[in-house]
Amino acid sequence: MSRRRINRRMFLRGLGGAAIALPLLSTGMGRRAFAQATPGAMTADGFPKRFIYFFHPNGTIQDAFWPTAGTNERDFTLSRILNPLQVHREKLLVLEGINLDSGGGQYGPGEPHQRGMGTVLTGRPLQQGAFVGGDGSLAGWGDGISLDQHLAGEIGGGTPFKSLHLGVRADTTAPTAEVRTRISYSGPGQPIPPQNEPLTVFRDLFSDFSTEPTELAVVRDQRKSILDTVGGQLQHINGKVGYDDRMRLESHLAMVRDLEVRLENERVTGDACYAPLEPDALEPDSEDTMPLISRLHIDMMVMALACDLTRVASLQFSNAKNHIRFPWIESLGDGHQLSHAGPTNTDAHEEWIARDTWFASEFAYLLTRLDSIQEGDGTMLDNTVVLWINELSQGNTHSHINMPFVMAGSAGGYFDTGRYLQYDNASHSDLLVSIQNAFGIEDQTFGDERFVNGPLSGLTG
Amino acid sequence: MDLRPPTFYLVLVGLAAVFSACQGNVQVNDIPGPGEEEYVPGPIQDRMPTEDDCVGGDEIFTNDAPARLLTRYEFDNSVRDLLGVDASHAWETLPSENAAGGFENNVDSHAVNPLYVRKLLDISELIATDAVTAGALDAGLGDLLYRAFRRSPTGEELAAFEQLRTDATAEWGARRGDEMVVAAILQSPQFLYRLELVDRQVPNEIVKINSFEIASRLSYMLWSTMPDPQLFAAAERDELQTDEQVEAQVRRMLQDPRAAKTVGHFYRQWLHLDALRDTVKDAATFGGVTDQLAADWRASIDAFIHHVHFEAGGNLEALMTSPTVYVTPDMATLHQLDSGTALRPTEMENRAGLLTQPALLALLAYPNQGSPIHRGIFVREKMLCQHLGAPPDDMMIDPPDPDPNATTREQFAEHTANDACAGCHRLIDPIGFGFEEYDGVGRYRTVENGSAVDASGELIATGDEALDGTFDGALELSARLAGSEVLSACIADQWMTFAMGHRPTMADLCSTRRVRDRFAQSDGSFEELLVAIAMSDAMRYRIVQGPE
Repeated sequence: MSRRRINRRMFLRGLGGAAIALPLLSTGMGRRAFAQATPGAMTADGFPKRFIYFFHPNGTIQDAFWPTAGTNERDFTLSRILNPLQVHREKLLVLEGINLDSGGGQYGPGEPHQRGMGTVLTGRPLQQGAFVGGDGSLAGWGDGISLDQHLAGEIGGGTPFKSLHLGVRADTTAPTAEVRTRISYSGPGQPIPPQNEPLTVFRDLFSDFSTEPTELAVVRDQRKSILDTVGGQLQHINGKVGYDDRMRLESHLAMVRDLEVRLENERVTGDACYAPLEPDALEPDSEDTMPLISRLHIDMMVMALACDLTRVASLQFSNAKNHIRFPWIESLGDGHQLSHAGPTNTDAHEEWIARDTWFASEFAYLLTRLDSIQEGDGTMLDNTVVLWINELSQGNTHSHINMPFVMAGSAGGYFDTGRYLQYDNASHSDLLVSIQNAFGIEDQTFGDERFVNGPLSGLTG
Repeated sequence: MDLRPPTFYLVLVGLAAVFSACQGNVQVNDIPGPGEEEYVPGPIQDRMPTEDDCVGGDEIFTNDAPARLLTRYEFDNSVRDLLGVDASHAWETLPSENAAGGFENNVDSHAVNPLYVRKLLDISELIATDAVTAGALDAGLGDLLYRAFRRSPTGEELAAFEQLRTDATAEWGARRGDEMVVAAILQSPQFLYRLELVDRQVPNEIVKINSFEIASRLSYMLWSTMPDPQLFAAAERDELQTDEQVEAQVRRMLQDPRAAKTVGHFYRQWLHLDALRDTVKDAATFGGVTDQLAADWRASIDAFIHHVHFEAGGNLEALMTSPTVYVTPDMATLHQLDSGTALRPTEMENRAGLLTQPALLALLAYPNQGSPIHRGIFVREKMLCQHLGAPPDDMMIDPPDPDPNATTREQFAEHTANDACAGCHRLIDPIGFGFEEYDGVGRYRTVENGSAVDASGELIATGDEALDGTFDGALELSARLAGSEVLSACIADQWMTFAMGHRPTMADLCSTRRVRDRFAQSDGSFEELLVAIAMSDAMRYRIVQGPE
């Protein structure tokens, strides 16, 4: 064991001046294979399946969103908003006619923004609580594990990061996190925060890449010792606290142990995996940096997946009921006000359509990046499911009817893509079931069973 | 694990007036205010303690005290006082708190997550490097653990950290061994959580908080940090038990600059002042708008709050009626005042306290106009502690498109003209219209879009008949609120929530009543309010949690 002392600060900041793509220091060790997970979580040719969700808030303009149907499911013309996805047409499933039944106000507290955020991936009504909604109503957190976290637990394969959650101004409801800013949950009332700063994300994901393997081993040993001591503290206090506190502390220290284990796991190495360029420090809470941060986050997310640092990721644009502007496309209206504009307000609708078209272009960029990485006979996009979600269907009515769901990638051929499917008031919980089935989780239910009929029909090949 | 306590929902309807779907059946399930004769029954009537319960004998009314995770702000302050490392690593790096009830320290919501655990490892190592350089271990590991845990460590605890230090030193050298032990302490639950341990678990037994625990409760309540040497010394002598001992400490602590910082920290959260950083104003609509203003407004309102609490009498009247506004050079330009070179206090015309602070008016506005809705909701929520129920779920209305040449009031009048909207908006908009004399950047005006401004407003269903009624403009509204029992009780409750780290529950109701009474009887003195909270049963006793 090396006795050389590693200064952690130097270690973390050692990449500060790097301006070129860093070579892999471990390439000499040859390609490291993907860790195996449960059979259904791997493709037939041995690549991991991945799940990504892509979120933007406040609903869409329905008329400008849905394709024009042709003679059959494969014959459709993309709408104005979805037009940037033209090149990926054959890898899409555009899913019309799905409602957010579990977000219904008769089942739980909160206003539609809150209910949409907390239910879209949990399939459950919200908890009671004290978050004040846009109309003053009260609600708590989401009330169960979200689909992404469920998949991360089942298919993660012990990757260094259980999941990766990136945000582009995902926290505009300063000062603090609340139900309208969170989508992922590790359990009832346990939200997972997104990260908004690209440089921080870069250092978390890729700082190891520039460290000598021997030094890295020392750092890992030291961290393991520290975490081991931390994890051991539970025994000193366990008998002196009540049940609730014991649960709280056990949950915390289970995360410490999980981190300890994940720190030992190494990334996969191979041609497709390299550290992206280190981004500059950017102000994450600014309308000026949003387009750049979006692209940086997508680049890092795709590389984290290619390197098998994680198999589950998300990209969250802003949060429900925000007031942001989009100066880079000359859209200077208040976001929430725009989304509320009535049907005759053509200017506001055009501005909203321009914003949603921009989101579609970012979604297209993500798909392009995923599709550029060859895996076996297909691409990483083919081995992934990318789900585009919103917490509302339409801003000015706050409706949960006909949610704008679009899916891309086929989970290694599980889904039959290239189609525009029109459902008759399907429950979105069924879509969540279908997605977990695509990853080899055979359960026929997810979330609150009241809203589940089984997997959504007609999705598979 | 479901972190929601079973009484949570009851608490909310118990302590706040709830407007059920705003359909006109306003329920005031509130605790009766001082002098209020008639208790208005609500759905939780049989769970509410009566007035007799609270005034009777020596009975103790308190709550359980769950393990409280330090907030980022408290973590950084504690690291500064514990290790001499003055930085804001936690604030900048750890995920933001999951706040509920308006405050970051809410025990039901502020919890760790996998990202937190990972980031905590990072910052603990950074802090440890600096801390060892600064001599954190010079007085010995036992001393460091004592201050980090805010109590004497047990023999087992000391041995565990000694072991890490010994092993790491053998492997990687003494310096690294020291750094690793400090990093481990910073991630240990005994440091991260405020734990109140009992050796013998007797569920539902009421126990008196011991002096070390009182030291921590007072220091985190009033200073947002660990106890200072005087509190530790008092704890060692077990001199934090009697009313006199606690009161003397509180009054001492309120003189310390750390108390002023905590006051600012309270208002930052209570009034959502961090949202000012996202405030964007349309330069084409408002002449004189600069990028600097968002930061200036924050500095201005922070200075106003400090002025109210520590210079202008420290009471409710100052908060609600002081004409002082702190202006920066950019604000002076905006308001067409003589420009100065720095932040300076000025007595502005047509200003009365918090509600007319330019910063707050700019915050409660759109980029291009003021918002009667935000301002109305702010008064309901923040000043009266009243929440509005959700609108009916099947409300599928296409809102009308307003005429851009109308006044703000005319544009928003549709809300109260439209039956579907009026149910709720009649509780909001007539208050918000009282602020029409202030535009979207907080400037006073008498004309908007060529029409004279109409700032007449009305308060209804506040639960206080003396407060209900029409008023003209924000100055009259503020004066009316300043003398209102509803406002006084609301602010007392906000401070209670902040001090305890959770909203008052059924079990705290008597403590809450006494605090409200003492605050009202002191003519709204904030110092007396904080003394009353610190001395309440809720802060000095707790109920032992059940085993299951």
